[in-house]
Amino acid sequence: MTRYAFLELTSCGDCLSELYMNPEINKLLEEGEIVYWPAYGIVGDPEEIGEVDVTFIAGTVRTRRDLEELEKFRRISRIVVAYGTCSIYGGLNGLTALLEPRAIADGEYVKLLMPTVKPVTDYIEPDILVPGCPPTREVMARLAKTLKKYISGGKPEKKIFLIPGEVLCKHCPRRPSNPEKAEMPGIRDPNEVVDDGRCFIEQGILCLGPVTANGCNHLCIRFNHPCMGCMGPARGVVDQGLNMIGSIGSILLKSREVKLLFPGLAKELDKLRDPMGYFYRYTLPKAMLTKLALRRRGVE
Amino acid sequence: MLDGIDYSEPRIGVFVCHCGTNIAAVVDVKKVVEEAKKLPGVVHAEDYMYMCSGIGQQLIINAIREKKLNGVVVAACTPSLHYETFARAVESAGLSRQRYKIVSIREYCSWVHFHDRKRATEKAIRIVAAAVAEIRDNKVYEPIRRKVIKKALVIGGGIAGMTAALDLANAGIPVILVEKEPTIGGKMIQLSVTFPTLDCAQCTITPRMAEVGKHPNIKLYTLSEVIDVSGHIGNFHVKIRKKPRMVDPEECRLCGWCANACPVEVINEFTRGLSKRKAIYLPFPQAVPASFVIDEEHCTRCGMCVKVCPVNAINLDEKEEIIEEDVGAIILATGYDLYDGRKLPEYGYGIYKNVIDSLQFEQLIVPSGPTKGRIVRISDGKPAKRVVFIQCAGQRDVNHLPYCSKICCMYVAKEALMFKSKVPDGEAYIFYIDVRTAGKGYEEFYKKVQEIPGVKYIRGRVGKVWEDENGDLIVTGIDTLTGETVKIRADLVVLALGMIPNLDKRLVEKLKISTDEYGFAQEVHPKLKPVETEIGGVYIAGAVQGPKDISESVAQASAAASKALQLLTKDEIEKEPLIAEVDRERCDGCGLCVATCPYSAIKLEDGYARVDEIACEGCGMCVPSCPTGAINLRNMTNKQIHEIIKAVYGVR
Amino acid sequence: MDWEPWLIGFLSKWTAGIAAESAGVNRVRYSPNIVLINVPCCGLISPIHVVDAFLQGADGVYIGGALPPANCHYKVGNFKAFKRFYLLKKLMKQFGIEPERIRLEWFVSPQYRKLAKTIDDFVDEIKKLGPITGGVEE
Repeated sequence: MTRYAFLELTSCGDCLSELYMNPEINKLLEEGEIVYWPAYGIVGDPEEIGEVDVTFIAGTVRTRRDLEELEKFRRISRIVVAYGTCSIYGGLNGLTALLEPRAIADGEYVKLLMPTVKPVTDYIEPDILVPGCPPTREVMARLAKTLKKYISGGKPEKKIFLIPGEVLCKHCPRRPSNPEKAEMPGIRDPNEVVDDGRCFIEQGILCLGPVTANGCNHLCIRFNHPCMGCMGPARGVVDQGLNMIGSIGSILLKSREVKLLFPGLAKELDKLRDPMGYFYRYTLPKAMLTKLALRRRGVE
Repeated sequence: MLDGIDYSEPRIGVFVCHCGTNIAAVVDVKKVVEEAKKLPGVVHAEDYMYMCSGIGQQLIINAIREKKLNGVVVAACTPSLHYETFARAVESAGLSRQRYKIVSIREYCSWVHFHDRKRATEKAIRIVAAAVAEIRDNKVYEPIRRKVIKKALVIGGGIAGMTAALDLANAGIPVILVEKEPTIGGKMIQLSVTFPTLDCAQCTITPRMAEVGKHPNIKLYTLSEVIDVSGHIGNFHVKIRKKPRMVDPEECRLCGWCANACPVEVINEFTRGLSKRKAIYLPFPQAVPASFVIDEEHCTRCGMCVKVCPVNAINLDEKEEIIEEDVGAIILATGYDLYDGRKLPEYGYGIYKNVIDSLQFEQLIVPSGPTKGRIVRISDGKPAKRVVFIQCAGQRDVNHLPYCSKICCMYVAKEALMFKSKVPDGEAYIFYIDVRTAGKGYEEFYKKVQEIPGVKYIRGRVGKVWEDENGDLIVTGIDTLTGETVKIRADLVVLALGMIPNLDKRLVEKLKISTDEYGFAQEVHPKLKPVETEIGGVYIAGAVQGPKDISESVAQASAAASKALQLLTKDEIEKEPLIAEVDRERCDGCGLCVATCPYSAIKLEDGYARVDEIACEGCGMCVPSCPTGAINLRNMTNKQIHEIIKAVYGVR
Repeated sequence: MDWEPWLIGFLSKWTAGIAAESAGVNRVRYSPNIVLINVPCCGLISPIHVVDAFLQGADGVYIGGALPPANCHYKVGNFKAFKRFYLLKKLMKQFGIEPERIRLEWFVSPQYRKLAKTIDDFVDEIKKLGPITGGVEE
């Protein structure tokens, strides 16, 4: 009988519940046995659980206990699935990456915290990675299919990344009709723009589509919301924020550069009040600048 | 040629030049060699006194052969001086020049850090490390070939432009000559005689003008301006705006009835305001094309001229035309203008009629000029007996033109001599700072003028010029040799105004060339590449590059023509293959690079970006625009930039 | 502390690069604590390269491009660079990293004195800011 463990590190607690309720996954679980899932009362001393076939891990490593459990479960598990964007890039939980522990906890609790928050992938090598906040139903189905292959034994030779990884723009329903003329006409507040069905960037709305992996089937975009980057960086993207700056810096007001000159362009760029919040909502612990900032604090 | 070179593992040689003591006196060359040997990929490093010498080059060739080098880094002077030298040496040993890099440890290091030998040496090591890191990943690409359009554009029909046009045309190259004015001839046609031989300027230049006018290989557009330039070396597309002449030059018989009939009288710019002309006029008798022209701005369209023209050559409805031409090379020869004398109010130019500039004085000397060669006071036409020349009127003055205008000393000497020959009892006073007479026969000429009785050279600056109640000019100044104040009553004051470039900013932008801080067109190298600009296929000739006299302008024009010929006699040219390249494995076809490219050189094809290798200029602006790192500049890839940085900080 | 800054500079070879060459020809001395790399255009340099340089130990990054509006050899590379680095500076500030560690300077090629002066200024400024690692020994 296949033995499953559910390990929730610091997280919102939603991902694994949703995963459990997915019919295809649920079927697999029914045929097997859940040996560890404290949130649902299945508690046990990991030392005594013995070998686990598949461990689903969600959340980030924020506390020292997170790290202990994570390392333990990696040791005892045949297959580790890093589930959800938090576990791979930090996700929303990662937004505390730059805060000192003292800023988020009091007194003796400070000691329980790691100096910063990091995704699971910074400490262990998972076998399967499932980004998404939360992962979509299609991705869950793909996960069920993949797991079936290894139920009776063995593990993937190489890390499996369960979404295609191409940039969201590739198949975007709002692709610009004439890419040569594509231009970001300024930086606008999405609430003040009457959406006309065109590419968000062409309307002056910051959309992280160019740097974000497609694993969502343009869910937000189809519902008239620009991409916020929850799937994490697309394949080849080094850093969502820095790559995005490279991209929008190229096409922002490109036809008026010579007229506006540097001061005019600066004025427009100043409208982007919180670039860090825009660019790294889901990947702050992975940002190159986070690494630099932490190094200066002596954390890295 | 590249057979036998194995690129599988980097085998890089580093060659460090002492440049005599230019580098070695500051940078510890031996230490650089020692450190270079430790760099990853380096299998050989050595230094030599003069790497650019025959022996130095041979060291490189030998090392490539003996040590089986597949990469060469030369640390010496700037690439603009010796890139080509070593590239040829490297190629002669069978190695591609794309596996070679020259980095400057002279201009970029020893010459600017002579105060700190230790750090200069450390910096030189870092420079070399960066170059090694870069070259390690350089790939060898096939050169890109493109066709050369065997046609040239010359902008400016002065003596330089005409000379260049004739040289090219005589070599069989079709030339488009564009001139802003209604006739060619430029400034030289306004001159009386030329120094130091005192040849009649007009007699010298008019045969050339005529030759240009009737040369089968020269297409002349007067009243025209170049308004747009696109394309690249060997293949430029230019747009020319041709203003209406309103007189058909083929038909015009130069009878002049039209001008007699014309009721509009305006200032004649050819004589610099010393005479008047009509709104329909012949710029001067020897104009080319030999035809009257209507001054669009002042013509009232009254139609009097149309009525009297015996050959119906006049068409008042003629509109401006936009002409498009494709050419392989462009020669810029737009010449100079005089500095605006009104910016020197202490000399009274523009205030007192008898304060004139040197070109106006030329017009007084010319027998065919507005005074028929008589030297008179402009205010009342009385003979001018005493003339004060002010040299360096604005030149060598940080508030005006900080540079020396080069020709003024000589033309003032010439004008003084001409004045004395016409007014033997006249007196010429010449205020000067220094007299500069570098040129064949120039010093002798100056000496001759200096010795003429009645010509007085006064070293010093003029303080002020004003007019007294009799209408005479009073010039006061200080003779710095005697320290005494000088006060001279004069009939005429002639300002030797400096030369400023006659180069429209918009044209500079269209040509994409650069200018120096005064607006003169910038050559690539003042000594070795004086007629080339940094834009391949665009050459410069004459005073647009800097102050120069006629003989220098002519020499430079021929030089520019010869450089253009070297290009235009080829059927195709090779372009460096260092362009942007798309990795299809990583490209998701988002189109951001397409939107970024200022040359429209990238298109989407089958969902992937594709670079047009002819149109791509190799700037790399598209590289940061690509979110997935799929587009890279060949031999300066993201990986290479990373390696360069790593190498710079790998040295501790 | 015997720390001294080592900076890296990326120069457009058509403008700032030529200025650097002229600074040499004219023997204008400036601080040696910077390694200057010539690139075809400052528009080639991406925010990733700059942050990469910081991570590898650059205490400051100097970018020299063409003076707007008309001097960029590739028409608009300077504008691309300006926008990218202006945004990057804003972003760095949010991360608590001094935006002054990026220095943008714009040139026409004859301005070699400006090049030397701005490099000296920059080196002085970085000396005041201290090492990129914030003084933490690695």
